Amino acid sequence: MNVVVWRRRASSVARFFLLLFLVTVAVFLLLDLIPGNPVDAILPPDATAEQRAAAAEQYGLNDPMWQRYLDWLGGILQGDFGRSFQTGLSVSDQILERAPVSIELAVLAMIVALAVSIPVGVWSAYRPGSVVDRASTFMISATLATPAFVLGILLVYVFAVKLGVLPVLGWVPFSEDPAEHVKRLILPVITLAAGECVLFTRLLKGDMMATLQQDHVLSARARGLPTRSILTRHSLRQSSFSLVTVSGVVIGRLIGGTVLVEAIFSLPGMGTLVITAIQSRDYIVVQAVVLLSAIVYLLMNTLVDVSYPLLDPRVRKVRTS
Amino acid sequence: MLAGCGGGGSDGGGGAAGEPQKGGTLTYAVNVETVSLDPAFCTLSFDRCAPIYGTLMRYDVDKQQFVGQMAESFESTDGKSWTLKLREGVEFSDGTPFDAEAVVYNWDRIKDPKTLAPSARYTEGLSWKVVDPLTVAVTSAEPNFQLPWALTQGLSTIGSPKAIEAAGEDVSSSPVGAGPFVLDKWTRNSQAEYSRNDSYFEEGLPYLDKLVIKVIGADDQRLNALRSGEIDVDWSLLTKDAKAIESEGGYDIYRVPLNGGTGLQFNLKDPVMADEGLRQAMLSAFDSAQINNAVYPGDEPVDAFLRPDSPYRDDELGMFPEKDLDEAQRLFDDYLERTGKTSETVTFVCYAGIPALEQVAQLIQSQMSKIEGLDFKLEPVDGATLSQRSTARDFQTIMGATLSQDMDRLYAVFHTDGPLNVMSYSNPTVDAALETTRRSNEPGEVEKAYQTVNGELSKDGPLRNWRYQTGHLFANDMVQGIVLAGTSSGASAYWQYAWLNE
Repeated sequence: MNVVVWRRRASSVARFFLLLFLVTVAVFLLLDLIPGNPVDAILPPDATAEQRAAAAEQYGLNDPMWQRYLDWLGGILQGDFGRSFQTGLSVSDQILERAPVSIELAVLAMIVALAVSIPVGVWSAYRPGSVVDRASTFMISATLATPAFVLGILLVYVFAVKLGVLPVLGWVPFSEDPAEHVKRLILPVITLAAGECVLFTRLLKGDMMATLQQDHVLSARARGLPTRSILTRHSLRQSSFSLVTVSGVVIGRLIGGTVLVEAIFSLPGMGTLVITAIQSRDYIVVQAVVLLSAIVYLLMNTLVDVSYPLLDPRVRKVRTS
Repeated sequence: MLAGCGGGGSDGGGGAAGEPQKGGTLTYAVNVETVSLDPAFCTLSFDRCAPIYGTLMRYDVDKQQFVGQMAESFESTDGKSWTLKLREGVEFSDGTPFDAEAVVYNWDRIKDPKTLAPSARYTEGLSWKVVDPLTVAVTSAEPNFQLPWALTQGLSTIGSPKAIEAAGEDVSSSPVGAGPFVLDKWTRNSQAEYSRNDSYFEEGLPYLDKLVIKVIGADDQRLNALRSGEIDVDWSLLTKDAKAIESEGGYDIYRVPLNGGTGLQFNLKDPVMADEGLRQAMLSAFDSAQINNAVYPGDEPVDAFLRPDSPYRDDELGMFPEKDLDEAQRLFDDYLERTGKTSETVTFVCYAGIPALEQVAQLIQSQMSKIEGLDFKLEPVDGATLSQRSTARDFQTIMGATLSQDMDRLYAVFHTDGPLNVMSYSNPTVDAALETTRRSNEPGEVEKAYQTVNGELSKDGPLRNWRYQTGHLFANDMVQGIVLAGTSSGASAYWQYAWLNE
């Protein structure tokens, strides 16, 4: 690699850290500038004047904003997000406890969405109007018309209440009962994956249809190459740009955005943590979760950026030339 | 003496059938998670705390009297000097004694501003001292025969001082009490698991081996969980769900009537809303029957502050103005003439993101828009913001509520000096009557005083409620021996008396 490449990479890293810094300022200011006194969020309406003074003192709310920002940032750099206003618990501990649930949900939903949408998208593009294409179009329309919370409740009604084959909700750790753990994940993962399935299938089908009309694919067909080879080796990789880009964003969104599904199925993840924190104005927890979500987004975008050249040599060539 | 002593024993509650059986796991679902199991914070989370700590007293819904629980009795002859008598030989689950020192330690901690305890207001005007290991003397600055309410919830939960000291900053998740159950595991926002406390003082109790309390936010999902057998008891405030589940059969419905309800609150400190004529105009345009028909089918229309079957209601003393649009317009026109205005704008701070309450806000807006010249604007905000705006008295009108089994809560909400009087409501007749409810130990006098309060609140309408709310428990009919508790969020139960007829 030449100097230009190194410069570009250094510039990317610098941009990453600059954005990260701006995110910390924005996250801090965002919640600090919300109207109202944080003491009202910590204490009940009938709190005494002594309690209000004690709360302001305990949480450093009397300090100037810059000092509170530096204290907050200093703590984060040491892995300490402070203590929850409401529960008094360490925010880092709460996040560490909750994150695995959300990550597992998001990753499984992503795997399910990709596992369903790639073959369906590819085949629908290859054989428009086929049974698979018509069935997928129908399912896409039906899913688009059904909000996630409705789908979740519908799945529960059918599979748990009527058929009694799956539990309604709740969480059992893998270490306690692996089979029960998986059973309790099935409905939430389907609910979460459904929307992404629709998106991925439509994206991939569109891109594949365009690719299948390109000269090199037509030429491969003319040479009598097997369909499997044409679809996978000659078309899929080239048609995956949009899918990879969106997947990167989606995984970030899923991790930070399993809120609805966690609430519907009573799963103890980041989503329910942040809902509770927002409802009770637990600023310090909200700040931590928003900051971590932003970091995941930044990282995923950078990874997506890096993965382009791996998918298509032409991009690699352009970037290194 | 008002607060009687009692064995605190099992009275079986509603629906008990046959001899109680020991064993089994009961699963109960509630709608919100609690933030803390610190005994100083339990006023916000009766459901989670009562199994661990028990309560010093309880209010018997059927007998309408206070009954001793962890305490044997709480008595006074003058309303100022109270004697709390504890039971002999009670121990926390860590083996330390449940004694007067422990009670005083917990109450001192609640009173300390640094604890930031939500129930600190219950300690105002109170002092206490240890008399002997089983006796605490409590002194109230003013006579207050309603004080036992504080020992059913606000000051009711006593934790092991040794455990509190040892837990330090993690006290919110390290509860050690002497109640019927011990906490085994708490997965926040999912479920809390409890098992029987074998050293619990009530002999043979609890019947259950295990108690599981799940958090399921959506009303529909809790019902689904009940129908599928995943939970045994469902918490609810919805009358329509009670009717639906009752018609399906196989379930027992338990009801706790709550005082007050959700409604439209006026800020009397606001220069516009301070005008009584304007408020009366709006009250005359208000139609609770329309709201209930549309949003809460099955709930009866509200015509006075307290529910029709309340013993504290005398309709001769006052009712909400009946819906009368001509009268509303007349009063409003009169307001315009007096103030020299040609129109008026009133803002209503209401909930965003809660469909039923959004619909209610829109209905109220349409009712108010029938008054020509009145522009009634909605300002939807999230629940936390609404609560903050209410606390800061930063509103003209707002969606608010007072819900409790505890009649003394009316003092906090409607007395001129009440700590929860966000409306800045001040009515000397109400103040005097509320003071009587605390000062008097004569049931007839107290009843008359509350009737006066209800009459005045209905005439003035500082909080114009559209629903009389009822706390419900929907229980699979296998569940027996439920002894109800009223809480600020609805109904709950003393689970040590529950058993499973499997």
